[in-house]
Amino acid sequence: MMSFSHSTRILVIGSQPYWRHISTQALREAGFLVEEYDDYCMRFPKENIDLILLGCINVGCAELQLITHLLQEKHHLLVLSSYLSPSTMRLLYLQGVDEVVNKPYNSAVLVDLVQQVLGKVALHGMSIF
Amino acid sequence: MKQGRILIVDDAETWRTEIAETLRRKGYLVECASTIEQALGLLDTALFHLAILDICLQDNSNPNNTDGLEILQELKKRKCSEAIKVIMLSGHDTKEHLRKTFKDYSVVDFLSKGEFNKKILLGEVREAFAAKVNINLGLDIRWQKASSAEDAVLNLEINGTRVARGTALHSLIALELEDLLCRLFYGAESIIVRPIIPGLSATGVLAIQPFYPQIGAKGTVVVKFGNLHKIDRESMNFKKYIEHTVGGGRIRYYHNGRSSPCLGSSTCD
Repeated sequence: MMSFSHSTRILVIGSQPYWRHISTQALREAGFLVEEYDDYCMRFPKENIDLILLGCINVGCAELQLITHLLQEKHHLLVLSSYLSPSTMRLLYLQGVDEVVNKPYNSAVLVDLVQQVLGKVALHGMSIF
Repeated sequence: MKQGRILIVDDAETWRTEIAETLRRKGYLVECASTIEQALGLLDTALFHLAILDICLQDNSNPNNTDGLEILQELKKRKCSEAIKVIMLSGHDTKEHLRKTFKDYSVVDFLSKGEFNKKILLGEVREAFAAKVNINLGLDIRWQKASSAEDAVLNLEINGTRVARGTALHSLIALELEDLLCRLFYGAESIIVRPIIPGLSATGVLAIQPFYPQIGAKGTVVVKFGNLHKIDRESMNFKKYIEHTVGGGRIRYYHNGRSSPCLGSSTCD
């Protein structure tokens, strides 16, 4: 698997302080540059962001609005939701999110997931077709 | 006007018949398969733009039966994922299947049989042809000098086999060539095609004059077409040996990867 670290910049967005804190810490320990945001203010940095993690309890109207905004800004997006139905997954994949999964509370699982998504993003970027 | 070609793969006859009839009534050319073997056989011998796949074929009671995913894997292996778009239609719409089909195989959509609605399916198919298949089915192709697609594909080498007159491969590849042109000249109203005698590389060469609505005639485009692997290799050779020798921006070269299931192309104008 490809390894990403020091220069890889990640934004973690989530309203649950505990989850946001352990996720940010785990990703920093894995060598990523991480910034955290606790609301959906939509005033995030626009450039040089490799991946945005959106952690939420479920994907409601506010989350959908934020996801649409972030995708319009051409960001790569990983959505982590505590409750996730197949129809929500379908909707988000059709919108163009890079990955959507049940929110992990294990740091190692989260770091592994982030590495996988970054790997796919990099592979997609290299593809001729 | 050419027809959109659709393959339906479902082990349940009622589903196959209902979907096929619905699509045929809207003018699509539809073929059906009930097993993975039948589906792969049809993919070998016929041309499709879109496939509608069930996941669990043959044994619905066995949740481990994922023949539909194997078909997706085979399309990927044959490098047909660009040429044949896929809509999943299955009762097994689990999170894992959704993830696999969307992320590993880039399907156009995943519809649940539990919420099946003919209108939604027709809308999805129409949308897929408009936004994903990228084929100009209304393109008027005029062949010059008494030539034809059948003549142009003679002696091409496709997966180790030379295309010989009168064979099943001959008519399939001729059909694919017209398909390829419909993909390459997406915005054109018509094209005039003049075959050029090819070299010894077992690829074909065409000089094409496209006509666009409002703009009219544009410059001549040279299209080199053939087996996907050969075209990839020729593209590398062009970059390595030829591109730097043609100065002054006189030639613009594209290797845009537009392809039908067997054929790829590179173009310059």
